[in-house]
Amino acid sequence: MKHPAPTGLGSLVRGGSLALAALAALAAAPQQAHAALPGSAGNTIVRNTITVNYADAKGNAQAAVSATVDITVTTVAATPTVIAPSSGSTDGTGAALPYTFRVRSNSNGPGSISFTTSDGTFTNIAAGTAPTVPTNIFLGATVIDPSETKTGSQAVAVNATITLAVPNDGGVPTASGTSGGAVNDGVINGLVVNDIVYVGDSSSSNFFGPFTVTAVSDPAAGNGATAAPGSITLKNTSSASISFTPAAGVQIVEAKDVTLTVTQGQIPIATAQNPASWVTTLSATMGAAAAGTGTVTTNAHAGKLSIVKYVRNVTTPVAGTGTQLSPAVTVNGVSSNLFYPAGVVGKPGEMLEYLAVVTDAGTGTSTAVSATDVVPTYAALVAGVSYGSSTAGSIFAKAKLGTGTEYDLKTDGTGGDTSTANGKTTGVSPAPVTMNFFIGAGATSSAGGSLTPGQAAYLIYQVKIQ
Amino acid sequence: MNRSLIGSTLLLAALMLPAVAFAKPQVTIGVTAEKEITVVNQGKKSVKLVPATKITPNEVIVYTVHYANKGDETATNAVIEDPIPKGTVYLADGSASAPEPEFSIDHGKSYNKATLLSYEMKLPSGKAERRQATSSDYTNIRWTIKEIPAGSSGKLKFRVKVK
Repeated sequence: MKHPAPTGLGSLVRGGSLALAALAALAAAPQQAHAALPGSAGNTIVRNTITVNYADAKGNAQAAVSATVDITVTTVAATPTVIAPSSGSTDGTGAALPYTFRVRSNSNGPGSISFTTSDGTFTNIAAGTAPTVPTNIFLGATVIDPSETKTGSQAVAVNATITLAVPNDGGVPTASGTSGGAVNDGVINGLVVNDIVYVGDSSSSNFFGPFTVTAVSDPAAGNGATAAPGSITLKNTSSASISFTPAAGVQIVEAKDVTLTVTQGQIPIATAQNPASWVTTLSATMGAAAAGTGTVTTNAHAGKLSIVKYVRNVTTPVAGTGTQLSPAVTVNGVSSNLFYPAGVVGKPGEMLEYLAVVTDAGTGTSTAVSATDVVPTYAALVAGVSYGSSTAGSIFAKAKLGTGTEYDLKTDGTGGDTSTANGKTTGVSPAPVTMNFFIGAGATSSAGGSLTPGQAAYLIYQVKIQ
Repeated sequence: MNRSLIGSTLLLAALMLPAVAFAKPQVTIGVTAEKEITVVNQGKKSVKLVPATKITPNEVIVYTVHYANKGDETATNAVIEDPIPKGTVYLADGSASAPEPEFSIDHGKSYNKATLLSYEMKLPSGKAERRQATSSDYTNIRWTIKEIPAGSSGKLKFRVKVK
């Protein structure tokens, strides 16, 4: 009786996900701006004090007389600058990855920034759960006051501080709102101690930092000829010296870090061996100004299982047909060169040996890898000297991961090793016996483990033709 | 007896006469701020002045100085001085009114007519070069009014641009 080698295997399962954290790398290098701005900060008091000196008809000097008028400068909304982190990596459908973006004001005054996010530019992947949206932030901003006396390039060493005069803000803004503040409330145009700030240059095309605010002065404007300026002290909290040239009107703008989380969508199984990626955009808006955007690319990965089954006639070796395993491997001391994918025949009483090769042929990790195979009704698992038995507690197969150690799989699940594979059988001959294989690192007697991209697991078992 | 009465009466009469005050000038000054807005009416553009309490960077403020002599004598040599407000730059566009103002580029230490204002610039070669001051160099503006007759008033206007 001829019995061709069974070709189908039962069910093969992959699932689960792995996440890798990606952190933003924010250097102290100058950042580019989005729009040049004029030199007055919002909330600045433009004070005009006019004085007249005169004499009487005889030329006797009279007492001088003065008058004052104040006008407040408005805050002009500007497109924020969004600094995106470097690319990240996800492994598996549903894998989530948080990213940190830095959002910097380009305005002349304080204001709220709102966000939207979107996924796009999908390569070999479908959209997953939409990226999360950061909650609104409030960013302060001001300029260097004309009364600042420092001139020329200022080099601020690591951990050193520099104090700059900034315009009086009239006590108007708070740390989180454009009004409702007070004089001497520790807030100067939305900037408070511990804020991260950058200092611009005269053309607003380069911003230097990051600095951390260590002190602010927010005095009353007073009744002098000009409104009394405030001041801000900046500490260089980056890892390198920072140089910039102060000048009246140069911007001092706040930046805050926000987090958004992306989720990997589904990679088609048919193309899971190809690179996959998608692009996430963070859009930041201040008032009516155009939105500023930043993008980050996530490289997606997915496991893809391939299963090939080979067979040989142990009792009477015969040549089969089809492409053999290459390069050859040795399992249980037997070379895979003796096994064929098809065309191997046997007679009743003869022993057939199967070699199943389960490989992760994708770009990511396959998790919860398990397989089942049903012993054909014309055959029975063999109790051999080394392995093969449907008797409870005895060895029915051997498993090996790559070039690792081989382990016996026992019918009751007490064999195997969590580093490689486990397995058990259900059913007792003459009823159909099902072999359950739990494959890969982390496998238990009831659940599959993981295979990394390119990793192969080898299962070998014998059946006797009845 | 009668003489002393007359004397007292005369004295009383003298006291009851209105006091003759010494004539003196009394100059008052006020300044208002307006901003220019462009109004389009049936396709025609015109510039209107509206009161300014809030101003956006790059907008133009028009300051009007009102002066008057509320006293009863002519005021002489009235010098009206105005430092250009911090955060703005003077706009020399011919709209500054008569009398012709003078400007300072050294925060009021010295003044001169616009065409006569210059400063010395040191070149990298070490040579000094004399340059004409432009309106962005002006730190103060002043007008000298020779006489403000009692009861008269006047107006001066100038424009600045908010930085």
